[in-house]
Amino acid sequence: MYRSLILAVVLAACSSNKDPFAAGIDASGSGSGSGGDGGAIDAPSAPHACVAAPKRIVVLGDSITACSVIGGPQNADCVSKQFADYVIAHYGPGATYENHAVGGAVMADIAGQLAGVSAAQGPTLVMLFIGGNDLAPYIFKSDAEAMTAWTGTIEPALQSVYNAMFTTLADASKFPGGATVVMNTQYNPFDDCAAGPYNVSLAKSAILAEFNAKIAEISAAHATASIVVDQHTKFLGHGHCYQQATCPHYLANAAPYMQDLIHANAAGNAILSGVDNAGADRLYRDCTH
Amino acid sequence: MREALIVACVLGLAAQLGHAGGFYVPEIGGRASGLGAAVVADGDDPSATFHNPANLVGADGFQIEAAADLVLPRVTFFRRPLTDPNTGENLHFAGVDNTNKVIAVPFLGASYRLDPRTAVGLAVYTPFGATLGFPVDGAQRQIITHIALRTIYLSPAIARALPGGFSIGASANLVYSDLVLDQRNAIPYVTGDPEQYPDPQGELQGTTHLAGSDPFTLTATLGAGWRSADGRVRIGASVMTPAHLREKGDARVANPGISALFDADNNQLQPAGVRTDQITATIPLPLVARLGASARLGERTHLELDVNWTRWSSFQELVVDFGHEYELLQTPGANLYDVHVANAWHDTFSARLGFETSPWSRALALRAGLVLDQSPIDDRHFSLLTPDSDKLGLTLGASWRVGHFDLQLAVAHLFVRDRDIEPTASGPGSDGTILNKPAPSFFHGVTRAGFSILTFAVAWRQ
Repeated sequence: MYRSLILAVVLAACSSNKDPFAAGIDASGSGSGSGGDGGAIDAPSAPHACVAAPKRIVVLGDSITACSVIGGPQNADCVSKQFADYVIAHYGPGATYENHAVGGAVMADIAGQLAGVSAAQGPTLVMLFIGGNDLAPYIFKSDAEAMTAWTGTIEPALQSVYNAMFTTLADASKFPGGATVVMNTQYNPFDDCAAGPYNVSLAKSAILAEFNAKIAEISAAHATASIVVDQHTKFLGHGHCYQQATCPHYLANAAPYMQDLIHANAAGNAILSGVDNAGADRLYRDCTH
Repeated sequence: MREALIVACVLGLAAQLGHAGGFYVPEIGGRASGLGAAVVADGDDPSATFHNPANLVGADGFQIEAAADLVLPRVTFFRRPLTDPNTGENLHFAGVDNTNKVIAVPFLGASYRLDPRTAVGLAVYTPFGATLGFPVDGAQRQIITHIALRTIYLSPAIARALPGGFSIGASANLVYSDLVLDQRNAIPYVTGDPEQYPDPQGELQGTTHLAGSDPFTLTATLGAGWRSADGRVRIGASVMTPAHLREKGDARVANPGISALFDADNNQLQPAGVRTDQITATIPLPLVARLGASARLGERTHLELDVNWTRWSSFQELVVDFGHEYELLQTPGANLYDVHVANAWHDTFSARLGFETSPWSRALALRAGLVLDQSPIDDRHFSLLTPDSDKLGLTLGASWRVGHFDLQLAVAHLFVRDRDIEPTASGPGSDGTILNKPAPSFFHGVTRAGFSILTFAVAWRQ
């Protein structure tokens, strides 16, 4: 054994520090995956049937609506607080604001959050923003893993979770005045752009588009009890790639909306609430009788 | 005691790259360094406190020795090229060299014969250690940018001569140790797959800094010796008992993608971009058993052959335990969590041959040594954290006695077998090394290493 060792080390001692990989490797050029058209949906712009003015505003969801990294649900910058203030000021004077969202929540947690909502008289306006934590674990995994998770786990869960939610909201003993849901689609922190440094593939943007389309589809199936609002489009060009001129949604001098990897900053929260406020307008002001 | 250790630190005791298997550094003492550390049977100077305390009985009167090893490490890593799965780009990585070119490792020892049969010794030395730095933007940065494991032994010893040429000795080893590990991190690794981001750039990257210390661990060295009546043949054996270092300290993980941390009342506990936590890293020090035999080949020539066995199999896993496992992002699984790095090191043997002669004068001694040393690390578990490999060492030394002083010089070079880690299904990193996730491509490449050691020592003998 040591004879071979001696030979090996002597040979090593005689060798240079020349790069053994100077010739490189065969270029395989696997590419960045299939392209996607982004996560925008054709959010219904037609007037919604008018609903009764809310007596309470209930917020469900994850850290985005819990405002976990922007001062909490009572902070003036919080999307949920801004939305509630807007609705109370314009359509539901005297309405209450309950935020049941929890940082880190996934879709399966919505049932628990709803269970924590006590029965109360009067119409309820529910604002829901969920699904980001179901998608987030796959942002930095392979396209194949992300697609498998979407088709095998996330999409089926999306349907069942929302079905269960609408069943609960239809429970007259808990929501005697009825409930209407503002369903938020997901924004893309990476601007539907595969540029660096994150290099989140267009295939994953396409999955996000499918997710958002599914939200719209579910909302359409529960049209009398919900509307969908498009958070995706407003964020394009303001995510982590906002300075990448090569990105399709690049806007010169665009303001950044991201605070950290996945959460919106104060400006981003203002944009989110603006989209939600417009949803409230459709329910209470620009509606059809 | 603690103050003495602190003083020792201030004097500049530093660890060197372990170059005798794992992170074991037996080249302690000027004479021993010239003989390839083949001194377990015949080593009657203050360094016997480390090599074999029983040999202290052979040290006359009062002796004191100060030595400094200057270790010149050379480690070069060529990461294997690959295709970025995200961008399709072919990634070619420039070779990286270690950035620390000289490491000083002092030794200070003394011995005193109390009576014809009893002697005592006291020494400060660093038998285990590893210090390496690499460029913060190099191809190795996710594995290591800097590591420094230091152990500082303060060892009082006593030896006793027995009838029949036998002797025994023991030292108590009071060990201070500390550990620093720096790496680059990347936010996609928190929830994602490191293999999807083999060369993260820009704001994806951050730094991870772990630092801990263990102020006190106790081990012992037990030794025995025998010499023939005419003193021409000697046999020695010694055992260093194992121990576990528990390095307690802090971790600081910085990355632009980390969210601020809030408590239940929305009070900010930690700011965005950085997370700190308490850590404990447990590092075993192995049992080391040494056996040597020496022969006097005439009045002025001496030859010794030693065999060392080191139970490195005690180092199966490196665990970094995070105290609070704080959240990094508000998404499931995105938090600090305990990191387990599989080691599965093997027990090792090393053979050491030392030759010493005084051809012209007793005042001048010339020495040479040969070392064959196994590495405890197989290719499956090899990484730049401990870039060890099988080694062949050649040493030369000389000493010149001037009055009560002995001036010693030794040079050594260790030729280290290259490591060529090829892509395989079960190579290093495949069982989860970056945040417990498989990341084999980060380990694929060629590592070339070599070490030179210059030892300067001065001894005073009564």
